[in-house]
Amino acid sequence: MNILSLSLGPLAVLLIIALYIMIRSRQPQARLLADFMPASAPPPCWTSRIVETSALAYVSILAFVTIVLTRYERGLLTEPLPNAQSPITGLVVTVLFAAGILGALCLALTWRTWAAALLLVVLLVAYIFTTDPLTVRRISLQKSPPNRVTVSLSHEAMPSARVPTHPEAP
Amino acid sequence: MRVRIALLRLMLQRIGFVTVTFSCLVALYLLLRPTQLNSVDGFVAILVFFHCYSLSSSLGRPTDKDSAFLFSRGYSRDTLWLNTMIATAISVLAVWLPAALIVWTPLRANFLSLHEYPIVTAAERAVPLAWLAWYALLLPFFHYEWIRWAQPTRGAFGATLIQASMIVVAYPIVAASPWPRWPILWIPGALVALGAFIAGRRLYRRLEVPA
Repeated sequence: MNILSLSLGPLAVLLIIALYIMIRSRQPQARLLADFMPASAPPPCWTSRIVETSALAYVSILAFVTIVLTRYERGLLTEPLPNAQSPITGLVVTVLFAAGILGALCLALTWRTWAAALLLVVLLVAYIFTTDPLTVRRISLQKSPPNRVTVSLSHEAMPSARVPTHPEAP
Repeated sequence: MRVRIALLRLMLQRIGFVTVTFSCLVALYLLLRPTQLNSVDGFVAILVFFHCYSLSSSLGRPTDKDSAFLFSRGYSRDTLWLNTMIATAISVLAVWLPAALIVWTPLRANFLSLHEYPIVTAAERAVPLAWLAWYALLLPFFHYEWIRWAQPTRGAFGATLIQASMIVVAYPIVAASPWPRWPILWIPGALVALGAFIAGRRLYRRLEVPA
């Protein structure tokens, strides 16, 4: 496993811890504001709505590009998930992801930013845990025609700097 | 809206430890990693994320005691916002610029004897720009989120979730590498970050500061 794959787990754990800390740290402020605000706070202003909706739309488009178009482009729509020992085909998973992302986009465009953002977070975390993008890339390289030379500059293809360049001649 | 040197110095003192720590961590990592750098490096992603979070929570949290003190000193909201942004930019540059210089100058290549691999050093040239792009995409939302939580309107938790989704989406997106092939996706990203930046400034004038 390369260093990127190894960092996936710790990255996800750190992300969850950071999110927990962030949410916890905001609670006193929420209580403080609640003392001064009426029982029902006013809805967000148009500036907030426009910014948050456009951000959600952007994240939805990015997620769609990453999850669906990348798999389609590499001919992996019907491939089983690389890391999941499951008979579920990639097509079903891709369709589910696509439906979820489009649903999040619709929610965002109807000002339901909270629900849309939650759905996106769930989908993206599920994507990280069910598929390793590098594995997808590795499979796509294996599927390339044998007479086609694929040159990759990714760190997977490059040798370590510690490896000697000139092995001893036989 | 003016740059106040005393105010800026005070803000830089508050984030000095964070800046120095992250700067040293990134420099050490770059000098000790023997393999090729890439824009999807998990360790650098974590550092960028925590650096952004540390900056925004130190400088951009209006409910903080230090921030409440600054609000009581008679500075206008625009002045406070401007100096906060300048202090943030200085901290980012203090972390990013040494890292970029380590990559762009022969320092890293000499230290790790990478001269035998010119293709590696050539491929690493664009990596610091990707790190800067991460900062540009994430930081406006980190600041916006704190400002949004200090607004007397509902739905602030949605801003936190948006921020979380942007953080989560960054990893698979850059790892799946659509960027080199669809660079046009950077344009809406820059527009969204710019929108968060401008909205943060507008909302900063209306935030609720506890006495």
